[in-house]
Amino acid sequence: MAEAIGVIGKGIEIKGTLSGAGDLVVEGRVEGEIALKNMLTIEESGEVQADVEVESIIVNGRMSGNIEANDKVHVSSTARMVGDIKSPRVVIEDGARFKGSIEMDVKLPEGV
Amino acid sequence: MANTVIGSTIVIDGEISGDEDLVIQGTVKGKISLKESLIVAGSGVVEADIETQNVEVAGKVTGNINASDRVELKSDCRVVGDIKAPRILIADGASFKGNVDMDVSKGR
Amino acid sequence: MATEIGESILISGNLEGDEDLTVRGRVEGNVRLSRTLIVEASGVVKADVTVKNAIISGVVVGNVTATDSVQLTAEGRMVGDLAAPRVIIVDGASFRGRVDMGDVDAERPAGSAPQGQTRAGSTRTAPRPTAPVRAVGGTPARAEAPRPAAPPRPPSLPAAPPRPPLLAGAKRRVLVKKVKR
Repeated sequence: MAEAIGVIGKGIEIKGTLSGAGDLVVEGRVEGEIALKNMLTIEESGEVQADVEVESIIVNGRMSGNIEANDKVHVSSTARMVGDIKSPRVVIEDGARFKGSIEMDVKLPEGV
Repeated sequence: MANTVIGSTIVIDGEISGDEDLVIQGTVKGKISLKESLIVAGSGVVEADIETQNVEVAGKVTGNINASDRVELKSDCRVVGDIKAPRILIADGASFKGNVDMDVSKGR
Repeated sequence: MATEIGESILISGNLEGDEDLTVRGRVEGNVRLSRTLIVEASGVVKADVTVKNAIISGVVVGNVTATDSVQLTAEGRMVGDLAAPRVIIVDGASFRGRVDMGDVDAERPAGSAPQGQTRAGSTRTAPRPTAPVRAVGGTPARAEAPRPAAPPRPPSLPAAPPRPPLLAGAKRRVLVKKVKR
């Protein structure tokens, strides 16, 4: 059973609300809101100006907005992001450009 | 026991405490309280009251030393302050000014 | 030259130096180093930290400012704000706080277009702004492939040249290519 992937190609711009159950790859530009049950990938050419709610997300391009992920946020070395991240797992690669807050669950030892 | 070494470029202004040996090659101002041995190396500068099991000073100490076992002042050290310990060894060449109290009271 | 703070040591106060510092014990207060702070897995640093680099495999509670880089390894745990030009957070680390890497250009400047298009103003060929667009599982209508790369135009052209006829005034159709894997 193939998982459908949506692709927003380079040169495509969307203003509005995107939602769905499959994976989505953004090579173009999305402005608005995104809610996905699976994975969002913002490619290097992609630009998202939106608040995003996903299962997981890979940011290779530009992202301006807040991310709330159930599983994982991966900000790769070509990413440029401004916004807040809330996710149990967050990875920031060397070379990524990021400004914002990150909220993961931090278990501190006693007495700290 | 892990080896704790405070390097020569380090300056600490505060309190140090612990259950292991400590070597000071840098500068410590404040208070030192250890259950094991304190070694003030030649480059070490300590301006603090010291409470420990053993102390070995080759550098500079300004402050009172209270050791449960022994204090050794090596040659070329400079110590100003009172020393209280059951055993004291002051080497030839050491420079010391202060009181010495070897009155043993175990179980301090 | 490097300083190591053993597991049973607690230092409380200001610590500064011109060498690397490895913390396996506990440091509270302020830490200023011109070199690298390494917090080992057993280390706890509850302090404001100003360093060149920091490698955190233990616990840091406090703000960390580094002139070069900060790395949170898989066992690292930090609560506080991070300011450094390079920040690396490895999978498995946990962090809560702000990250500031300096200026980040996350938005293309207005007026410059993604590849293949130019536009002067706001007349972007946006889809109807109100209707939600289904990314997947929605309308099966297949879009024309988005227009192929337009003839090259300088990106900062002040006045948009006339659009290719396909687009001028044309109602936008489905915008999303659906690709079955």
